[in-house]
Amino acid sequence: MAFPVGDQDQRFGVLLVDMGDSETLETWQQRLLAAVAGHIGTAIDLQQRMRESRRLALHEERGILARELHDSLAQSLSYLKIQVTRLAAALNDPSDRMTPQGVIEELREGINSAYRQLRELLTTFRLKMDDRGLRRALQDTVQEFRARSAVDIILDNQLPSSLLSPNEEIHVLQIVREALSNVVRHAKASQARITLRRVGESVDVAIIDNGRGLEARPERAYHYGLTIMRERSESLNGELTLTSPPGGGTRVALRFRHRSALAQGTARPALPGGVR
Amino acid sequence: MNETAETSVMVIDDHPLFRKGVADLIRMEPALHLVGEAADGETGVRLAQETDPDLILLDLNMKGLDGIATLQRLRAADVDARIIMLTVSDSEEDVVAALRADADGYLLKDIEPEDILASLQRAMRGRLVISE
Repeated sequence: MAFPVGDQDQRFGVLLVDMGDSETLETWQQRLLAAVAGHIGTAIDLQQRMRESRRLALHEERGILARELHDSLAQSLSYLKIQVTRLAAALNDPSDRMTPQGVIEELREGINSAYRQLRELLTTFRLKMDDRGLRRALQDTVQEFRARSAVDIILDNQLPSSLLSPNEEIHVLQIVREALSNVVRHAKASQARITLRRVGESVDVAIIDNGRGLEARPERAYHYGLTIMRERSESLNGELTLTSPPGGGTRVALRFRHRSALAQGTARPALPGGVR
Repeated sequence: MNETAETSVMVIDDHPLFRKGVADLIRMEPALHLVGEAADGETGVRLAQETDPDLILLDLNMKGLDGIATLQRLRAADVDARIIMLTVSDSEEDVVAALRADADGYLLKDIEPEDILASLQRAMRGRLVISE
């Protein structure tokens, strides 16, 4: 006897029951076997869906990687190429205003910055690709910064898991890393606190330290990191603010509308009626 | 506006490092001079109206107003500069979209910088310039 294994719209196979010639199945036995076949079908379907969603997540992460490469390394390489052209011109024409030394300095800086971008990308994807999500990546980040500095860092993450899209997770992670790196290098702080909260349709991220505040820092110290944080915040359509609270220290705050909120606003009417 | 033989150039690109590179490149060529830089499309349109450049280098993939939308705004605002897209995207779709939106050229950022300069000169002589 055969019992179909499948779900509503897919047929995966059949459950075959071997019986002797004279044997028949009681109604209750048939029902039981049909139910078993149904459960197997559901399990297969569930597994396929999980595989599909993992495939989609991977696909999305690849898209992010491509975008990140475009925004960082591709630009740096174009810049380096231009500097090589300038170097050639400077060497060919000694009377020119520009000196080879000056251009070599630009090249050196450009290569350093490209390396920095590459490291950042590698870190992001090492932390992300292992599939443990933002929560774990933040914990690892805090451990890493604790280990390399004397700053006491507290992580207070109250975001529900899987609230953010992979893209949002990467931007949040990098903003936190950039802010922490500034705390460790420039703030002269002994303590830092990272908070992540969901406030209605928004996400609030804050990195607060008890260091010397913004005014006391060297002009350029914060510049590069700030640009990175601003760019990422813009990608999230978010708002990034840096303040020195009256009590001292620095507060970096990010607020953005998370994608789940946006999707609910726009995609819901398009859903077929039967799906809940 | 003062009349000189120089070609005035403006660059609209949201990558600071690349803008710096283009500025360096333009400084190498005596016939060109940079009159403005913008990090986003909207600022770019405003600056183009203020400085009335001969040539605009425009990035295709920008956050906020993208390259094509910026191009359309520039044309709608009667900016008569020659506008050249400068991008890392070599997808045919992007090229077609840019030319449809009345771009005067489409150059890839990874071509030799000398070729970028040569292309700008050709564009000023009224030629349509497109990277291979």
